[in-house]
Parts: sequence; structure tokens; C-alpha cells
Amino acid sequence: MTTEPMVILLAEDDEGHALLIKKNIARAGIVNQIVHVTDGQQALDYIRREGQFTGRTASGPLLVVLDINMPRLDGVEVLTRVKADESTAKIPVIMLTTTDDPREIERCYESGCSVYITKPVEYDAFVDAVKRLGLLLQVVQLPSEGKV
Amino acid sequence: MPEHTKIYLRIGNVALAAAALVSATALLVLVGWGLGSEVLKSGVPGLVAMNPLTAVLFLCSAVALAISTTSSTSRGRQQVSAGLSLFVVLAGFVALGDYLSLWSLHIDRALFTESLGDNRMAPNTALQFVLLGTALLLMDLRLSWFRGVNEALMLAVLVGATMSLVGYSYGARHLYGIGVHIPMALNSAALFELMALGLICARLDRSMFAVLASPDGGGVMARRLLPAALLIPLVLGFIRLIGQRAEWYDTEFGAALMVVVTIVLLVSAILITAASLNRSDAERRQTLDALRSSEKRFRFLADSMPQMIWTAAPNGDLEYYNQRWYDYTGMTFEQAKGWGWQPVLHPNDLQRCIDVWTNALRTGEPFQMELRLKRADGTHRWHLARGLPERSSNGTVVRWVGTCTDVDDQKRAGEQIRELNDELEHRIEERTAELVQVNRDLTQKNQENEMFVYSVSHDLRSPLVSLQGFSRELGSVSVELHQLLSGDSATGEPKQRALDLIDGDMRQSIRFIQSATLRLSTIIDALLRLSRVGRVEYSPRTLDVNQLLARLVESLAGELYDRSATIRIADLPACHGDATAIEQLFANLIGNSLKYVDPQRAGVIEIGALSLPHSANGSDTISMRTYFVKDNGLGIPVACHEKIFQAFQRAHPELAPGEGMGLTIVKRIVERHGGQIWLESAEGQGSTFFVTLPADPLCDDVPSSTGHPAQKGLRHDNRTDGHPVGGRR
Repeated sequence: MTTEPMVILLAEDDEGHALLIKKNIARAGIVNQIVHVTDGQQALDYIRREGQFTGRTASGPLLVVLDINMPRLDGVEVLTRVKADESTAKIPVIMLTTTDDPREIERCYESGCSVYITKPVEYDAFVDAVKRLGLLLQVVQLPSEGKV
Repeated sequence: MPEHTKIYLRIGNVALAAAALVSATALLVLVGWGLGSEVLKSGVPGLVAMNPLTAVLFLCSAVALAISTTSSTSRGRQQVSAGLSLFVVLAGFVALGDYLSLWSLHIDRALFTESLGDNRMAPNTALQFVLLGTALLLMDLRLSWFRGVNEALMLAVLVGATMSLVGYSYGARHLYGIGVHIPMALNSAALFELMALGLICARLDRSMFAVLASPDGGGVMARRLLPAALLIPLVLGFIRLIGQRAEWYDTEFGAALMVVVTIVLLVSAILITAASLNRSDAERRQTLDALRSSEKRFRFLADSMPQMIWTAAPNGDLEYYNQRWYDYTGMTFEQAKGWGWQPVLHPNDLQRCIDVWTNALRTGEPFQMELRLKRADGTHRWHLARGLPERSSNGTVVRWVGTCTDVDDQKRAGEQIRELNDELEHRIEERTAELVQVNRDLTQKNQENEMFVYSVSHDLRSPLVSLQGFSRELGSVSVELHQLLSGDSATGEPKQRALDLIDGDMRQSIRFIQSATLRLSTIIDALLRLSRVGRVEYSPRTLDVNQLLARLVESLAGELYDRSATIRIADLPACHGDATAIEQLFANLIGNSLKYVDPQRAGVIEIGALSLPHSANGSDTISMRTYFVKDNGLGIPVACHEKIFQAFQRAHPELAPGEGMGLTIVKRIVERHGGQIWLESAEGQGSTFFVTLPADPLCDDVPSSTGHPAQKGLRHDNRTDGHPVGGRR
């Protein structure tokens, strides 16, 4: 348990979706920093502090919210790689995607995601889902980002 | 046992009985001489007694006869019999010699000399013994010459004895005595008669008396009439004599009476015999007629049967064919008899036929075989030949009987059925293979369709989320605006806030709504286009690919210049397909290469064809040509090789506009032409797309074959790098 505030890494290629998510997280009362990347590779880079994020200072605990359909590296790939690497395996990963295919869900859980949330088209439900996410995030305990 | 054998046996017994009787009587005579009994010596007291030697000779003759009758094959006994017979002949001859003054041996006085008195062997007795002995000696000789002599001798003995007997019964001394010499004794005459009878019976089948033993009408008749013929004249003569001696009537009357009675009896006998013979003849004729008509029936049956019938002797010589045979083969009996049927057989069947036939002849087993027989017109037809042995009552084969049945039609039909069956099976196999293939294709198509529908629905959902979301945002903004603007003063801070809202959130939301709507529209358009690619009618023809590409490159000139890219086109073979579709195919591939040019080097696009010998595509025999579009652009990571052919997949979305349909369309076009598409690429190493298209059927030239069909094969499974995606398999 640390006093550092949590950072949310949001990997979402659709700008519109990203904006809606950010808005609603804010409405849910989460004021933590949200880092937005638009493809899987960037997400990985951030987590590992590589590529364009080389030399990023590790801040508080990291929470990753992933869309699955992204160019270059899709969400599942990112998930797999994150979980494969010991130094990043502990980072909680939330899949937030339009797909509700049970096989896909199964796959993600097998690969080690913490939570899988479907983006419903019905906006109220969407807002609700994000709000609950937010509430969850308020109470959740997260490991620190790990040794640098 | 056959009839005549039974009769012969009975008659053989007669001979033995005669011999036994003669021996017994002779022994009794000798006993009589020993005891001095007149009865035994002469039978009827007062008559001349049998000479002892005569008795001895009778004994010998009887024994000889008995031996000959019972065991004619034992050499020892034969010799004994011959010896006895010889003795009889010699004794008789010696006794005769006395009378002929050849010598004076008097052997007939050797036995019982003291009590003989003047009893001697009569000269006719001696002669009879010579004849009898000789007859006994010659009895078993088989030369026909001797047989005639034997018969004569037997007859002579018989006649002589009969004469003596008749003489005794009529009292005519000259019949039984020669001149003044001592006459033949009565019992001697009787015994001679018996011996003659015995002799005749012993070898009945060799003399003219054989008819007596015949079971046929003649034999029956002879056996019935003969005793009458012998006895009746005797009795009649006796009656006549008695009558005459008693002077009931005189000679003339007596003679006349006898003659008349004889005539009557003879005529009656003749008439009776004739009637009986007529009856049996009539029976015979009836039987013969029945036999003839039966034979005619059989012949008619045999000739009218649709099969060929033949019979053969036990040694295999063919003896009879029915008319059908002659009609079919056109041979004559002269040609076909014996083993002359061989030319009628098909040369391939001849040896087998001979083998089977000779084997059957040897084993006596029925046989059956199929063989080809040549018809008179020269054609061969299949026949089923069968043969059965006909056996006599003791099991030996007396005849072979067989048939040949025309089975040509059935055999040919059978063969046809077999052929048809085989063909049917073959076709079924082919069809099954086809069906299996089609099944596999359909299953794969189904899966692809499912995936397609899934991915499309997924892609459609995304803009919908935005649409919904930002519509709602707009909703909440307008609520807020309303609140702000419906306040008391719409100036100052609330106004500013309202303006901010309009400029900020509102505009933003509207923008996102618009772009989402646009995205939806694009997706739907792309889907329509894809569906059209699948639906539109193709008009395939021979395409000059070089020309087609030249046109395409010209139209892309501007973009080539912009991207500083060059295109190299090799000499490409013609293909067979729809012009518009193929153009689109290459346009998309080239377009992709241009889009994903590697910024670090000048873009070079190569279009060529693989020089492989055309090979079959699956079970078809359409030959395919392999074309490739190779670039040195950004390349595609191996992980994406399968995905990029799926709808809406984009490897590098940030570099160029597009909805990710191009390759999907290319793949659909390739599939519709019956070809395959696959990819060789790695990140940073450019990409090469391979497509196979039907070759121009009129064009025969196979470019020099340097590649192995198995290598970058046109087959799905022989892949070493890159995967063929889709295609017919």
C-alpha cells in the first residue's frame, strides 16, 4: 500500500471511445492521471518504459485498461506479454472491448487478465460500467509499480 | 444269375448224376460177379451178364466224366481223367483186336476167370468203349476240328446204345448183337446210354444239343418235345409189336396203324409247336415294335432338344451326336466321330477340354466345364459341356453321355454386368471423392462465413458505441445549456459557460457522431462491394496479362511518381478469367505495395510469373499459372499473415486510408477463379503476394520447368514459408 496515486494506462485506438471513457471515469469521481495510448506497442512501451517512454519515472501503481482491437499489437498480445514478464506480471489488466464472444473472454482470462468488461452500445449501460469501474478503482489495492 | 447259366448248372448236375449212376451200377455188377448174383450181373435174370472188364471200364469212364464235369481246371485231375479215358480206349481197342484176329489177349477174361464161363465183352461193346473213351479224351479240347469229331463220337455212342436198348425192348437181336458173337448186355446198353447222355450234358454248350439248354422259346420247346419224340415212337412200336405178336392184327394193319398214329402225333406236335412259336414271335415283334417306337421317341427327343447331346464309348470315342450338334457345327458323323470333334473347339480351350475329358475317362467322375465351340459360320460361342458315365450293374462304365448347352448369351451378359459393375464402382469412388471434397470446401466456407459475420458485427459495433455515447453526451450538454440559458440572466458567467459548452463538448460530440456515422457508412459500402465481388457475373476469356498491367500502371503513374516507386513487369503468360476482376486484383495488390512503401528505401515493385510446369489443381486437370507481386516495402509480420485477408483488418492503419477490404476482395476474386493466394513476408523485408489463376487453355507452352511442383507448390499442404489462404482447398 502506497500513498502514490494510481495511474491509469488506457490503450484505445478509437478516439471517440477514449474520450467517452475518460469523461465517464471523471464523472465517477476518479481524478487519477489517465495516460492514453493508441496502439498495443505504445502500451507495452509505456509499461516497460521503452520506446518513446524510455526514462519515464515510475510513479504510483499502474492499472492497465486495454481495448483488444488495436493496430500493431492487439490487446491480447499486450496482455500476454505483460503477464509473461515477471517484472510486469503483477500489474492488473482490465480488458474493455466491444467483443462479447465467450471464446475471446475465455482467452483473455486464460492469458491472465484481471477483469473483462464489454463495451455495450447502450450508452447508459456503458456509463454505468465505467462508473462501477471507477468505484472499483477507488477501493482497489494495487501493488506498486515495482523496482525501477 | 442269368437264365442260361442256371440251366447249364442243372444240366451239369445231370452229367454228374449219370456218372454216379453208372459207377454205382458197375460196382454192383462187380459185386455180383464176386457173389455170383445173377441179378446184379445182368440186371434182368436170363439175359447176358455184363463182363467184369466192361464194368471196370464203365467205372473208369464214369470217374473220368465226373472229374471233367466238376473240376475242369485242375491239371492234376485233368491228367487223371485223361489217363482213365486213355485206358478205356486202349482196353476197348485191345478187346476189339481179339475179334479182328489181330491178337489174342483176352483181357476180358482176366477178372473172375473161374466164374466167367463163356462170358466175354461183346465186340460192339468194345467198339463203343473205343468211341466213348475217345470222346472223353477229346472232351475238353477246344479246337473246332475236334469239336466236330467229338460230336460225332458222342452221337455214335448214343445211337449205338439206343439201338441196343430198342433192340432189347423189341427183341431184335441184330440190333444188340453182331453176328454170332455174344451180344451187348442190357445193362451195358443202358449204361452206354447213360454215359452218352452224361457226356452230352457235360459239354452241352459245345455240341448241337446246346439248344436244349437255351432259355428261349426253342430251348423250352426242345426240352418239352424231345422226351415225347423219344418215348412216343418207342411206345408205339412196342404196342405194335405186342399187338402183332398177340395176333390182334397183322403186319400191314400194325404198320398202318403205327404210321397213322405217328403222323397224327407228329402233326399235332408240329401244330402245337408252331402255335407256341407264333405266339412268342408275335410277342417278340411287339416288343421290337415297342422298342422301335421308343427309340424313335428318344431320337426325336434328342434331336429336338435345344442342347447338343453326345454319347461316347468308355475309351472316349464319340459314337453319337444328336441333330443339334450337326446343325451347329456343320460337321458330318464321319468327321466328328471318335476324337474328331477337336477342330470345333476354340484353340484356347482345346487343351483344357482334352485334359478334363481324359481325366474323367480315367476316374469315371462326372465333369463339367465351359468352353467355346465354333459354329458352322465360324463364330465361337460359349457352351457348358457336361458328361456323365453310364454304368452296368457291376459298376463298370459302359458309356459316357453328355450335353453341350449354349450359354454364350448368359456369359456375355455376365461379363457385361461385371464390367458395368466395375465402372459403377469406379464412378462411385470418383463421386465419393468429389463429394468429400465438396464437403470439405463447404465446411471451410462455412467457417469463413461465420468468422466473417463475427468480425463484421464486431466492427459495426464500434462506431455504434461512439454514436450512442456522443448522442448521449449531446443530450446532457443540451440539458446543461438549457439550465444555463433559462436562468435569470443569460449573461456573464453562465453565458460564458454556455458558449464554452457549445464550442467544446457540443462540437466535439457532433464531430465524433459524424465520424462514427461515416465509418458505419464506409463499412457498409465496403461490404456491398465485397458482396458484389462475390455476386457479379464473370465473363471469362483469354487475357493478355501484360497488356492489362500496362494499362493499370499507366493509370497509377501519378501515384508512382508521388511515392518515387518503380514497377518492373516480367513477360507474363496469358491467363483465363474475367477482365474487370483480374484488373481489380492487380490494382489492389499494387495499390497495397504502394501504400506500404518503406520510407527508408526506394519502392520497387516486381510483377512476374513462376516458371513451373502446370500442375493439376486438386482433382481437376485445369492447369494454373502462378503470378506474384513483390515489393520491398514495410512487410507484414508473420502473426498477421492470416488476419490481413480478413475483412477490415489493417496492418498499418496509420499510414494510409482504407478499410482493410482490399486483400479480402483480392482473395475473393482469386477463389472465384479457382485459384489460391498466399504470402511471403516478414516485418521490414517487403512482401510477395502469390496468386494462381487458370492458364489460357489454348496456350500450350510450358515455360521451362526449373521448379519442382512440390516446392512452392500449388498444393495447400506443401508449404515451407507463407501460407496459402483460402483457395479451393
